[in-house]
Amino acid sequence: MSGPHLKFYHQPWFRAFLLVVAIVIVFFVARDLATPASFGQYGYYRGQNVNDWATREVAFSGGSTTCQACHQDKHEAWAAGPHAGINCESCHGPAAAHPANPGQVRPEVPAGREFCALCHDINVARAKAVQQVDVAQHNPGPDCTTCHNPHRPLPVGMGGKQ
Amino acid sequence: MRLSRRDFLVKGVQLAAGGLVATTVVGKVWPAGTTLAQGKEAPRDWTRVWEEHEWAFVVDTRRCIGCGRCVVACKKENGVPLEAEVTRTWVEQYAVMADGRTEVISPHGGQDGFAETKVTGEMSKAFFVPKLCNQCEKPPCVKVCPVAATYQTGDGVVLVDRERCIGCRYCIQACPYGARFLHPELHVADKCTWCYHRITKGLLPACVQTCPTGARQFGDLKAPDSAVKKILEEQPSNVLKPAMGTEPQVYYLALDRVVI
Repeated sequence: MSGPHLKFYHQPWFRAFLLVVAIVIVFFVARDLATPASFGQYGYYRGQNVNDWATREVAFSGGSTTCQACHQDKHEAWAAGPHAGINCESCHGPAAAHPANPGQVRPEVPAGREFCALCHDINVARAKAVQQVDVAQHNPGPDCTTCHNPHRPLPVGMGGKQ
Repeated sequence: MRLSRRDFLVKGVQLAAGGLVATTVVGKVWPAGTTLAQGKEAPRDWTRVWEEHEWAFVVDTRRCIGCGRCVVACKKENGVPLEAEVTRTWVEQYAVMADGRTEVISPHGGQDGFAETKVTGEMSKAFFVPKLCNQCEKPPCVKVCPVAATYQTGDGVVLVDRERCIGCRYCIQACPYGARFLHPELHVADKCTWCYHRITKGLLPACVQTCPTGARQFGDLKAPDSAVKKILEEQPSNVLKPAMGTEPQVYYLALDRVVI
């Protein structure tokens, strides 16, 4: 086949073999460098990313019971009225950072007729179980909270406003 | 030295076979990413956590009043700009008119309510439908990702790896529900995660927690006192676009046939 005077490492088949070995090594080193450490831990993705998502900070707290500890009066009014069960943060916005730093992190206090209208303006697509008024016609001008206690919104004269 | 054509082919096949065997052997003893890749801290082992949960989302369209608090809460919880047109969850207003037409609108995803777009004229019915990622059991968005940036967790939530996503938008095209979008600031694919950072801490998704009427409900089907399991056992439910074969895990109660 090949000349008898050639040592094996001069043989063409051996040189080709070395080339294949080199390609294999380069492939594995390159693959290792390009693959993130946790790739394939759970599946065909970067396993660490599950941690990345799960450890994100929350903006909204765990619920209304968190607020009760400090705002007992509001909680009692809320629990006795038609807004009971609606989360504090539905109207007041994200407040998870508020308890640790109550002076600096102030939850939103919605104002204006448009905010109440989001739920209570007349709309044919809206569930009838929710109290609806024609906001444009109903005592136009003042904020809803002038007459209605937002935490216990009963009709005027029925103890709604504190 | 000369090789005959026959010898050349024989040697070539032998080398190729040897290379294949070597690749396989080295691959087994040296899996990718074990030694040379920059190692972060060892991630928590999620396999056991995942075994304990099977999340499900229930939407009762009869209860939705279109206030849009869910949309605002979602954006604030998940860092999607309020002014952006894109959103992880949204509310649609349907109106089936007397002449048979169906009008569907969702101004700003419903985040400012529907005061400006009240349904007028003769109609047979009108209602709101909240939408979000269905966390499909067979997610087409995961299949098309060319860089393995999106995946399904063991407890059934589809997530996007923001470090790997190249923003090619294939997944956005692939989703039959329009639930994905390109994040306007991060320029990576973004979508509802069922607030994965909240549910893994035992909290409710922000939209569920802020919904004033209970139109959105969320829970664990494997929990012994699961409210959503009870609802799904006792009430008829449906999913969006069942013919797509995606097997959504958001279940709708009282879903009208005009809803797409």
